[in-house]
Amino acid sequence: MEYKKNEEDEQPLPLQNIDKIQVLQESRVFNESPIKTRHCVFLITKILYCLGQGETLSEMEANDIFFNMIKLFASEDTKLRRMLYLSIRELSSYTDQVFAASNSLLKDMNSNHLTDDYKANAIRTLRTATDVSMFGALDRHLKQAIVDQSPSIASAALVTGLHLTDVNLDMVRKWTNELQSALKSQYHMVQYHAIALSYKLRHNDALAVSKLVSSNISSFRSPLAHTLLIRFAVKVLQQESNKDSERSQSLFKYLDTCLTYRNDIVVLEACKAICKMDNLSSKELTAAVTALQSFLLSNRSIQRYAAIQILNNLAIKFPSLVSLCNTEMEGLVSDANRNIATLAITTLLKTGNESNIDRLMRQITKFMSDMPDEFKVIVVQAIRQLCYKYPSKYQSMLTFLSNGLREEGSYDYKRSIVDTIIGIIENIPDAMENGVDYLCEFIEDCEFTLLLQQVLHFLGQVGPKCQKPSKCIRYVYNRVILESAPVRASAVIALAKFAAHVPSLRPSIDVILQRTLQDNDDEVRDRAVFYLNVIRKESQEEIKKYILDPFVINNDSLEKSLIRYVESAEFESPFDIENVIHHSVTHTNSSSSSGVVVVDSSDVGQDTSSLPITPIVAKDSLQQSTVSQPQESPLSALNKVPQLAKMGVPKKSSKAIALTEADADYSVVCVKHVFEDFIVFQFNVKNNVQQQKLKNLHVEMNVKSADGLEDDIMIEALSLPFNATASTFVRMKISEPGAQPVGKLSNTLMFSACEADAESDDEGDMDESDLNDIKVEADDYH
Amino acid sequence: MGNYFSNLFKTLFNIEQELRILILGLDNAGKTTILFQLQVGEVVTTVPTIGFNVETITYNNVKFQVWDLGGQTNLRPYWRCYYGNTDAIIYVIDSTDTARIGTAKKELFAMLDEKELKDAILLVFANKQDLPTAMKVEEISEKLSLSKIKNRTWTIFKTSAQTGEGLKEGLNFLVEKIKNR
Ligand SMILES: Nc1nc2c(ncn2[C@@H]2O[C@H](COP(=O)(O)OP(=O)(O)O)[C@@H](O)[C@H]2O)c(=O)[nH]1
Ligand SMILES: [Mg+2]
Repeated sequence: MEYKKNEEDEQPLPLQNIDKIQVLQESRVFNESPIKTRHCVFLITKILYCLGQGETLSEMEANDIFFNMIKLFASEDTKLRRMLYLSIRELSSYTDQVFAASNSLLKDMNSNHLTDDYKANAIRTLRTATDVSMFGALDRHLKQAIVDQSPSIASAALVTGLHLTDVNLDMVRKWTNELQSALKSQYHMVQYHAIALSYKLRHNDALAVSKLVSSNISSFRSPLAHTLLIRFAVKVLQQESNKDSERSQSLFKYLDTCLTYRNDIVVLEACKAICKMDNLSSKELTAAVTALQSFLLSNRSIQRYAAIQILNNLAIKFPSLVSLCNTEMEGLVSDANRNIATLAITTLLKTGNESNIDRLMRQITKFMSDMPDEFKVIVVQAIRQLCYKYPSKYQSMLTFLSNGLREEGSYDYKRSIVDTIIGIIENIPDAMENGVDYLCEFIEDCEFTLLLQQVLHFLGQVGPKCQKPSKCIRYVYNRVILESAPVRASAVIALAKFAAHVPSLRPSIDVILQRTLQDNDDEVRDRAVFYLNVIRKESQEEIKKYILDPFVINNDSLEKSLIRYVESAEFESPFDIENVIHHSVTHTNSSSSSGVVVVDSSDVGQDTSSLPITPIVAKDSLQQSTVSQPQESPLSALNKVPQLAKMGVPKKSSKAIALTEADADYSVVCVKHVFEDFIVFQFNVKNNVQQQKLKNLHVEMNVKSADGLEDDIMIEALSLPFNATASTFVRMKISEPGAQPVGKLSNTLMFSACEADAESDDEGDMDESDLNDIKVEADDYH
Repeated sequence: MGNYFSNLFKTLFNIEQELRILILGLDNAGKTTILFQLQVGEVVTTVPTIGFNVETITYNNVKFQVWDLGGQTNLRPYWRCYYGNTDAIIYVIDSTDTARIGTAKKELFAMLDEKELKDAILLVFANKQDLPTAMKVEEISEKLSLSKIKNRTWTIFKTSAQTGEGLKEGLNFLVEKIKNR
């Protein structure tokens, strides 16, 4: 990039230190009579500069400026007028009052003494100033402007028309004649805007678009207009189902001729269009790739960039086709423009194969060091993809990544490497020993607390499964000695996990943990005490429960419960965490991003001497995860059942809770709808068994511990073909009006299964399938 | 005293100094027609004014910067944005619009209350006098309660933007008054 020069230029810019408030105060100058033209022009420049720097205006400020400034229309000075136009356009995004300039702009547009360029600017400004209702009055003027001999006026009117299609389509539709003559304009820019507007008016009509394209192919001389034609042609082709139809053939031919057009923009646009089409064979793409290949050698960076960008995308689907350009791309790896170099590297990685990966990695390593971190991150991501593609090559990639860990680098860069190594370890079992070694080495010298914690957490999980867990422990223990308190605490947790997994290590970890009892941070000490007590327990069961099985807690519920507890002011009984755990279950979402945190049981206890918690390992709660795929709204399903529809709108409907694994033969999710006197359980069942049709589906619910709920009615789903979803319902009555029963219900899916193509009177075989329990909780009622 | 003469001198001979005049009134009263009748001496076809017109008119060696503001209901609140430094107001009445004379009065007095217009001279133009259904000047004067206006130089003219009647007289009056101010 050629921006370097400016950085060295220390001279302050002329407007650099101006202040918005000061500028606004100055705007009284606009009122002075006679008008101080130069002063006003400079002041407007300052206002525009402020806005350009990202300052914003309140509506009042904008109105102030505007109504002061508007007086400048009394001046005929063209420079000042130009500034007025510019500022009206800017101000129009802060206030509607700029419409007050409409009359003046309209007058300028039809003025006898302003030049064409000013009139054109008046037209463009008019659009921002005028509100929709006034455009009827402008129709005549705009139509006239489109056929004006001045290209700038015609273009301005066409662009205005483009904007108007959003608000007054019918009016613009009637400009057909004017548009036709604009398409034939001798001016490139007018052609360009005319084709854009013509397309906008008929973009929903494939036939009309293809006519538009074919009728203008030969007559257009404007390269920009051709780039648009190319895009429109692609749209038509994408909708066309028959690739061999006459229409498709002629459009393809057009695109192909564009590849040899004498204007680079057109050629690049054609390449891009062709490479983006998803129904072409690699043979049909070859011409475009060859064209791009020569752009890679261009001496203009913009062309190299455009070409490599297109190839980069193409390489996902056609690596071997793109690899034709490997020689040229390898030349770009050292390109002075880092964007191009990065794209070249990632493209090369995509085209890489078993035989050349090693060489490729060595080559890249040479150039990585003088590349900015944000680009390195992109390269790392590309390597991650490659690694999944060629698992056997993990060794050279791990080596490459570990080099990255050793050099200086930003948090984001290091994190991308750590994530990638972790990903590799998780997906390629062979890579575990090496990967863990690199991570251990990394935490010996890492300045980022979050990363240290992440790696420690991961080592706690994976380290114990290594051939020699003890070698890992040394690195973890070093953290306990050397790092900050948050890292020390994480290290203590990791150590406990080693102990929990590997009984033979317990005695030595016991010793280590004892030393941390002296730590000067209480968070660290507390954990040490807690874990020491746990690993000294006899029962592996208990050790596992306290250390290895995380439970899920919902932050919102925790907060709510705590507030409730504090407000109740009944402090004789301690705060009961179990409530929260129960309550949070319905909110559990399988993706931990939505406010659900997985905590180690130890994180809850504050006072180790009187641990008040019996952490509940809500295993089944994890399975009751909500279903994330979009579905039809549950309410609309309710409304399809007359008995339920007449109950009206439920007080509250829960999220969908999965009662099976998503990939079970018959996957079921449940939504609870709470009404004044009823709860309706809606079960959405999906049939995942090919060749099978289900009939007479319903769910039998059994009130386990939810006292106060009575069976009421049940609504069957009659039939469920493969891959379809059907709803069945159970309605329970709340026995005591106003009560809010809570508890558990067990569920069994009952159905008969038959061959997909069985006769309709085939009853099939009765079958059933157990579903997870459903909980009804206080939260369901509010 | 010296100040007085220099002001007068400026007003009359320094052509840089312009008189700032606002033409106000309800929509369709004839404001825009009057403006262009004054400027080019012809009747132009007008469309409702969205915003304003501003034109410079030279009459008897005096330069006027004349602002014709849109008079539709939704535009009237913005009149006040133009009040600063105004020397005179021409308030135009459609003499045939008996239905809205009350509204015209209300807007007139609201405007006269504005501090920024304290020193502005007021000319009321009873316009469209060429039409047979036009109310007489006296009737309009009465309906607008012009006699209640205090502490201000004011007058009323019968005008027609169609024929040009009364417009020159109005400007003459202004020049005269401003000379003597
Ligand atoms: N007969 C007649 N018509 C007039 C006169 N003044 C204005 N008009 C008409 O009244 C209508 C409104 O005039 P216009 O100047 O646009 O009013 P504005 O809304 O106050 O600017 C137009 O049709 C004018 O031709 C007048 O003195 N006599
Ligand atoms: Mg008007």
